Amino acid sequence: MIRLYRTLIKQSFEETFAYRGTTILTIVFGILFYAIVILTGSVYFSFAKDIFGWDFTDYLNLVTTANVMTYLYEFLFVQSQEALTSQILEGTLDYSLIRPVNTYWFHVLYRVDFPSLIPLILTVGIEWVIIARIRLSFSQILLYVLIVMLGTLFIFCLNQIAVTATFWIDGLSALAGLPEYIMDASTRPAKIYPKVIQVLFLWILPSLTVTNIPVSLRYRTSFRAVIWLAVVDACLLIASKFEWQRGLEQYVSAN
Amino acid sequence: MKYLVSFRNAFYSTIAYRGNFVLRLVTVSLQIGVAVFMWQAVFRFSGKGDIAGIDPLQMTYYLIIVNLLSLIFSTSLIFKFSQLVRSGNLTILLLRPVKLLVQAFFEYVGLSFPYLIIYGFVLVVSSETSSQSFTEILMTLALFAIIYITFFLLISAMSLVSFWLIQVWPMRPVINALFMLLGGQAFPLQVLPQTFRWLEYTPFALAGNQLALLSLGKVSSVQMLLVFLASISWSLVFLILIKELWRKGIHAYEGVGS
Repeated sequence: MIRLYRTLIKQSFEETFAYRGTTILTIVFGILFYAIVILTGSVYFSFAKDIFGWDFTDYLNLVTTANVMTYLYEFLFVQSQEALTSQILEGTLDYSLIRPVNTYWFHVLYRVDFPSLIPLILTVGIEWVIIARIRLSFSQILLYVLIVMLGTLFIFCLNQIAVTATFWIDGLSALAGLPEYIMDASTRPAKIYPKVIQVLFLWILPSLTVTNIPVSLRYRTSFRAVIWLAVVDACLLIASKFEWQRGLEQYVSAN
Repeated sequence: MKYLVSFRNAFYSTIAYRGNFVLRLVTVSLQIGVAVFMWQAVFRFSGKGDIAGIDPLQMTYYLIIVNLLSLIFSTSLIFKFSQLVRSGNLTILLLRPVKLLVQAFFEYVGLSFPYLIIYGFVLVVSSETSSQSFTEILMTLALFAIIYITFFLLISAMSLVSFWLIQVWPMRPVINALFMLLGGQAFPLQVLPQTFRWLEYTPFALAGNQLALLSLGKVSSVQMLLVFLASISWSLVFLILIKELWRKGIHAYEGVGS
């Protein structure tokens, strides 16, 4: 499987350089998007220096962390998921189904999006500066890295579940965009929301936990939230694999 | 008449996929909720009763209207055209005795028609907070029509980059971000310092920020005139751009797969 993944990465790399125009635009647009989000935050904090105990550095930490997770997700999975939707709809999964590989992981790791690597490196660099400025300890940095990985897995699972739903639902394109909207809504301090929404997105579908916990490391460490996030990730991953197995039973080949 | 068929088909496709229609309303409600809660927090912690002449209630109406406008001013045309170029199916359309730009416009109106109805309903409700005369309401509607055409031309021009780009999906988050920032989806552009006020006359700002403020009766007659002139000027620029991009793009088009 590792040799196969290396081959798939090599193919992705070659594709990246074959479509140079698209690559450059992906990089430019990725950086532009991040800049716009920061600019929006600077407008909020130009009117109030402190919002629910958060200052602009916390906001910067929040959006940068959220973007690190998003770009890491895009780098590892987004191209595979884009391809999977069309393969399910067009009935062209056969080529992978007959191969002696785990089809779930084959389709999950089918392509790597190299252009996303540039904004990812940029945001990791900025986050590095933020972490140095807020003086996190070594153990807090390790915990931060763990949360980023769990957060990336969380974003992947949400998107994978939405994409795999294509086996049953044809034409519900808005569903694929729903995880993106949920994560976008989560790049705000959790406390701005009413209690019901906070409980829903901190504990039931912990998208606010994913983005807010790394920032709160500056003030306190919530191991309970991190463990809960790991449990939710495990459940979502199992649900996603189960959905894939059931989905394959629905699959209609076009060959 | 042949173009009305395009309008009808697009309208039916919006309401036929009810799941999509409902999910779009859900996601926009989510965006409205995010913006409203964020601004309520800003109002609360700034200690101000109004920001740039907008009080918290007007800000809520503003955010509802501007986010609904983001549904009306859809960018789906770009991705649809990209698919046509990539698959080579554009060739079939080229053979038909229709003007593609006119057909695309009717399709565009059809796709956004259900959202236009919802927008009209919200306008009636929000009109209680403004004191617009009948003439001003008519002028608002006329400006809406002009800006609607301007935005359609902008999207049409943008869609033509598909002749050169294999993947256009990276444009999606950027267009959303541009509408969020320049369109005033996250905040009215009036809160920006005077140096940046020229941004109010960019196409995204005309479609989002200016139309939302117009609906709330927050735009003076002079500003209305400026919005009108800006919209006409942008339309001319986009028409020239479409003509040039089409001329060059159609030569680059390979029609692969057709």
